[in-house]
Amino acid sequence: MMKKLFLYCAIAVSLIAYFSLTLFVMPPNFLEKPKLVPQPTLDVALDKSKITLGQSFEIKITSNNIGDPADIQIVSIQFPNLAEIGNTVKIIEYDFTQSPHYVLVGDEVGAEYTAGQKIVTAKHPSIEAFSRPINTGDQYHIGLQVTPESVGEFVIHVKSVILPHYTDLAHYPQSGTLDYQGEYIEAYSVEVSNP
Amino acid sequence: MEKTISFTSKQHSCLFFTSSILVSFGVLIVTIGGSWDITNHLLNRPETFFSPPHAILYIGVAIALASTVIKFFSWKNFQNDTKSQHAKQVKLTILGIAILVGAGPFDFFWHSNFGLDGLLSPPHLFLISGMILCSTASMTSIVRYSNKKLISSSYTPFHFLITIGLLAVLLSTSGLFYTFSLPFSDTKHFNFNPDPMFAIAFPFLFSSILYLSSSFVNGKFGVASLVGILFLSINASTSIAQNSFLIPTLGFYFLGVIPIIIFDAMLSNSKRKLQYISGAIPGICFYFFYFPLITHTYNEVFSHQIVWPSMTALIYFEMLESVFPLVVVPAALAGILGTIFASKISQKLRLI
Repeated sequence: MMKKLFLYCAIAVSLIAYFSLTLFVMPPNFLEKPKLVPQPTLDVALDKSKITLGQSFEIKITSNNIGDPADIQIVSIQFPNLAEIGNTVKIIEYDFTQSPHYVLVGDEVGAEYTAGQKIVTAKHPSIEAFSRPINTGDQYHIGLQVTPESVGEFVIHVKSVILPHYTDLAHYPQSGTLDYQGEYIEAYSVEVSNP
Repeated sequence: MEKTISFTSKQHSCLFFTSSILVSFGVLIVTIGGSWDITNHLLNRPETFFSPPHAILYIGVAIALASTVIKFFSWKNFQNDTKSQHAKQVKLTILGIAILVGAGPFDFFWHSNFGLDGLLSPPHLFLISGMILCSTASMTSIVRYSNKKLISSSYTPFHFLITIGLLAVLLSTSGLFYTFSLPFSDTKHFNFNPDPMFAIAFPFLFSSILYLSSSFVNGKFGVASLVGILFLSINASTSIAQNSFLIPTLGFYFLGVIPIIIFDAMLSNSKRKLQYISGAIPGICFYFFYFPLITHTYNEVFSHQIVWPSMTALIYFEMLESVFPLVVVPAALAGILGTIFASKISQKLRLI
């Protein structure tokens, strides 16, 4: 009888301890943790600033996360001069963890850094490079060979976002020109002249 | 001179038991691969059919298939009365393995035609049905074979081997319940996303399997605890430890050992009515046992956020104060019902 009484007391105490820990003591430790602040940066290098029609140039982009770890980093390279990518742009280097995604004019894409919760229609084609998850200091590379098919200024827009997006630090660049997605871009251009 | 290998009836019997254990072990490997696969999809978005979790999964299928063949041939050599005693389980195992093996090409066909499929898809349902059939039939074979040894007063290796059979049933049925409660089935071609309310089946399942674990060994303390702790360990290694953001929650998760041991102690030391009522204990704790995937289920009702892997713990704990008071009574009742159901099943298995 005493043994049973002792057992039931031990069970009651253990249950009280368990539910106190799981419902009241431990959850605040996880709820009060500061939110992660990831921060992407991009290094963009063009091998030429002027070419003649028929020639190619290369653009190499290195992405980096100098902030906290996060779930996904997207590097977007847009081509506002093009109606379609076709044979104009070829990927010559790629080490992101996910396959590149080609966005066509008219595709539905996320806007204003909402990870697809706000949607707009793509106004020009782009290539999106992804890695997930993304740790502090992770670097990934994409290299493109571009062969413009008309003379004039060939423009490339480059940007990066890390998700989840909680602060302005989670996108690159953090200021400047806004694109059709309501997100900041860095613009690069190459002058294409007649041979 | 030609040499032939002949087995005695005792050796056939031993082979039958071993192969039944191995069928369960194969299914267990499949469930581990499946659980890892879900986490892999959440973390990395694998882009091909050929991923490490799929490899583990199909190694499990191979083990289960080879063991079913051995089980069938050892059963065929039984004497008539023993043969008829195990006939139903052998047939169900063969049916289960046929479905399980058929699910592989079906899954490949589905991936090839519809891209990455959701969790609730025809090939996945096929796969899980085969797993449940195989594991249930094998567990029944194991229990019937070792019944006398299991109820002996001292611990024997059978007490620990039976946990493989019970775990395979617990994990494969949990897999089925996940497919009917997780919102991972809205794909490019189909939207099979189920009703999150189905999650209330988890406490029923967990309590019933722990009750069976204790009942099969005549209330001997330890086996139900072992099954529960192994379940926590497998879930921790496939769903929590794979996600570096969740590693700090491992201590919280393993506190679940406490109610499992308490339930086991109640089953070993109390009368039947109190045993039924104590089914409420593991029932109430299902929200903790099924962390982190349960976050996705209740997020559909309470939070409506994107459950990024880095945000899973935060969303889970944010919802805790809303979810727990709401599910505590139904979960307790489901847990009690689970123990009553398991009691009937246990009696039936023992009587035959």
